[in-house]
Amino acid sequence: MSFSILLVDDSLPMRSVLKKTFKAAGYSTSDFFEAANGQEALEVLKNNWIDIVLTDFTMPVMDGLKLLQEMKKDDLFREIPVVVITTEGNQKRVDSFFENGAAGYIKKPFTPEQVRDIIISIMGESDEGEDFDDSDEGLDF
Amino acid sequence: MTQMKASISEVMETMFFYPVELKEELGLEESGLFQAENKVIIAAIDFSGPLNGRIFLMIPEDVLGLMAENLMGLETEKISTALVTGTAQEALNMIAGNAFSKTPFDVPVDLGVPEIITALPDKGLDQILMVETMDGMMALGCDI
Repeated sequence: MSFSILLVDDSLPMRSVLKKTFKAAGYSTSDFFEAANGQEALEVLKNNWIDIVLTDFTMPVMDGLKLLQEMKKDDLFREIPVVVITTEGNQKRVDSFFENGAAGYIKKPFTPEQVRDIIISIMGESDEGEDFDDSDEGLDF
Repeated sequence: MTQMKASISEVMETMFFYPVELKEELGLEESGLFQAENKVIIAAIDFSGPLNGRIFLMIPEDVLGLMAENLMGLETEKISTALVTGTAQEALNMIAGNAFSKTPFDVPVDLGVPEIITALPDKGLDQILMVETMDGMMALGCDI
């Protein structure tokens, strides 16, 4: 099963980690799009079919919460699931992600299994990812 | 600093597969971190809210290269300078954010965007925590 996945993070290493985690979870044939902030993400969304967005919270130009709000205001983007990946752990702020329509939340630091579980709960099991837990390669970032 | 101690161990082990040992008795100067042969990358991040200040992460470039390899699973030759400095920024972002998530504040602490700086403040740092890794020392500092 493959998806078009948009990774939004101003950290190049974090985008690389997430891409690797997706591949380890079996979404190896998916198309990956990347953006360094919410504004860039909206441009990617306007020009490409995207199945799921994973976004950081704190970013320059436009943060993840603003991106989420902008997506929910747009008829074309509002149904696309958005997962917020952040160091933020304050409950009020986490609640605000969900109040604004986030489909999931992953707190950094995270394990590949945590990312995998959230993605599967939203997108369904990958055909290739069923042996993820037994794969040493899959567990190694 | 209690939350920082817990956070640095958690982040280093979970994301970088790097066991660390805190050296609370050691100071920055006596640690030898800034010896001439070490090129040390310094990342800094501002925070505001119930507390205001700046946190610094100091890591020798060679240790940082190994951390970047572990984090992204890339071979050494594929690790660019941008990925190395980005790794320092992301490590600091995770350590600081994770530490603040362990505090009892009702009001969120806002973190800035981490940046790479060339030198520590002339006046020094209010708090410093030396951290030993299997490949060398690193340090976490704080100004409040």
